[in-house]
Amino acid sequence: MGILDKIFARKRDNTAVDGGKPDFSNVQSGSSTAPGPGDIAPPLAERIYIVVKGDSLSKIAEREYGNANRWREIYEANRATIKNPNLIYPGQKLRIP
Amino acid sequence: MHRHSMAGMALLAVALVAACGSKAKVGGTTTGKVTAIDLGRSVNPDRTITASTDTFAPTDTIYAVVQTETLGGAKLKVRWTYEDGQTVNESTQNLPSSGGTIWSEFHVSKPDGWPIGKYHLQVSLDSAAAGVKEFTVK
Repeated sequence: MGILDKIFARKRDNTAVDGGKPDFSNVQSGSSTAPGPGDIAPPLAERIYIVVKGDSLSKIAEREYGNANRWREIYEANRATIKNPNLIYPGQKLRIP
Repeated sequence: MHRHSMAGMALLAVALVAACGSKAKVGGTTTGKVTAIDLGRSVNPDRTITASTDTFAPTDTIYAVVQTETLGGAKLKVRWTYEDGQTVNESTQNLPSSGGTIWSEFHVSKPDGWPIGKYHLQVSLDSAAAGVKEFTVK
């Protein structure tokens, strides 16, 4: 392997630039924020809720509506993605009508 | 008095045990809380992650969507770190004063590729730790 091959192989590997420490100086970043999914806040219309660990439809209903018994409304709005109302999983996106 | 201090000690012990035993990855402050952290390679127009993953390729742009519920005006900060503790990037978003449920999107890319290894995304709300997410580049 020639010297140029070694140099380029090291650059491709990209794990050790200076004394074994990776170099993150050229990381590019960006960010944005919106009051709800999309750029415009949906006033009293549907919202998207991302399920977190420990959630259940009744817990979400309690938090969203103040009434755990309204879980069926969330279930009905998400029949396409919820097969069993007792089984929702973290990361799942639910429409909150 | 003695009874009161014993009760206080017991309460403190319960609180410490609860704190140590907690495995929660998201949390909150008095001004709000982080309710979800999602990672992926792209975001939908509605600012949700297209397909959640915690494994990336060196050439990927890494997106994080943080969902918060605040009383308004909170400062949301994310810190990306490498497995050796090195800070990869930091970004801050001032959340709208209207409060409510807020979706914030953050993304990072590295033109010459991410070093292989484990990374952390640390999220804080008004300077208080509010969540952490781990991911791997391989």
